[in-house]
Amino acid sequence: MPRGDQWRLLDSGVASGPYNMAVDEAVMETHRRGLVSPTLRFYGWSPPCLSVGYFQSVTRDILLHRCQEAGVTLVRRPTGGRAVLHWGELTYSLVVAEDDPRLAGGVLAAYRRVSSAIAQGLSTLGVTPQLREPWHHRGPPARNGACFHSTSVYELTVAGRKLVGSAQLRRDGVLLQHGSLLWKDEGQEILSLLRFTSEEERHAAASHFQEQVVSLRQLLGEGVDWESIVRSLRQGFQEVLGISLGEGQLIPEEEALAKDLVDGKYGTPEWNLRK
Amino acid sequence: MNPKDCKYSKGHTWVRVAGGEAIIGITDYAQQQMGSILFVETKEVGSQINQFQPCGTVESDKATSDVMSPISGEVVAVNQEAVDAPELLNQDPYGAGWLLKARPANPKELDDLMTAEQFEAATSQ
Repeated sequence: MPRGDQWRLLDSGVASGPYNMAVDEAVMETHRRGLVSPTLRFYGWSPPCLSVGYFQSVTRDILLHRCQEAGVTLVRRPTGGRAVLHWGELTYSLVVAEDDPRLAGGVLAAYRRVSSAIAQGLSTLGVTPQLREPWHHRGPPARNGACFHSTSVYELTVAGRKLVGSAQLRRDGVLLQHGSLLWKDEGQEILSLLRFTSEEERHAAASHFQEQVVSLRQLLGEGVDWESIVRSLRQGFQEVLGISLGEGQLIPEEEALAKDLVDGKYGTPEWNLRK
Repeated sequence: MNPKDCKYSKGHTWVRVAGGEAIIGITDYAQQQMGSILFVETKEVGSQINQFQPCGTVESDKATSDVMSPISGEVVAVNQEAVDAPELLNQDPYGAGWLLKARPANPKELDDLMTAEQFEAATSQ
């Protein structure tokens, strides 16, 4: 896999859930084959999409008819964790060799480095997120299927409220970490798409969500736009990882692979509804 | 401690061959890196697995990882207890937390794997 400090930046704009997941997996594969540099990608989602974790049970956690009524599509991620509503947020993905010295040292070390880079970037916008350190008390595990309902180690919070949620996949020596930065909205609509055992539980989750989740717009007002977020995060990654990010495009192999992955995996009910 | 009767892959899996049958699991190092393992899935009985290719997936509270098979062969058994109670992979990775049993396709593939000493040297770097 290509080494060095020249990494690729992809500012992909918005696309469908299946395409977004297909591109992340395609980049993993082309990087593994040595065709492309380590890659940092930013993207959004349209139409709105609920992404569920690799092992997450759609039957148990998701109200599919509510998704349909709300015009929300569904895709299963290659990464684990719980559901994220992608609307009014910005997603990042990072693909790099597991043993790249900048991210080496294991799962937590990689999380820490990526979160530090994001925090450094956001600090240039005037936000100072904290990394949730491992020794902090985790509290009881969330009972519902929403990612932003709880905070994991080295995820980013502001005054205890979660701003960025991330997940990591390791496959054949390549690391993919992608995550969701709440931008325009805290995404509370997700609660109407999740299955709860009672209305009481739903109300409790809604109240918890309001207290525990925050968006950039809440922190910075209306002015913060896509370009300024991408510029700040790019700077954070460059400074913290000691890399140079050059703007690039998907190569034809990635486009072809992504199309195959949409047609054969991420765009199919066999994959998305398999659990 | 990594058992000496197993061989180890760079992908942090182990295999123990006895009586024409191979038992496959993830290493203690891997389970420590992953943290609390929450989900496990493997290839089904009767399916083919290939050396250094995925034979399963595990998810912890921190990450999802493909399990790369240390050998090629046909799956003859899946550890349903570990699928039902994934914490077994954390508690006893070389015992009750095994993942698959397979009929090895090529005994020579074991030569491509590390001994316990070699694996320990590789993971202590």
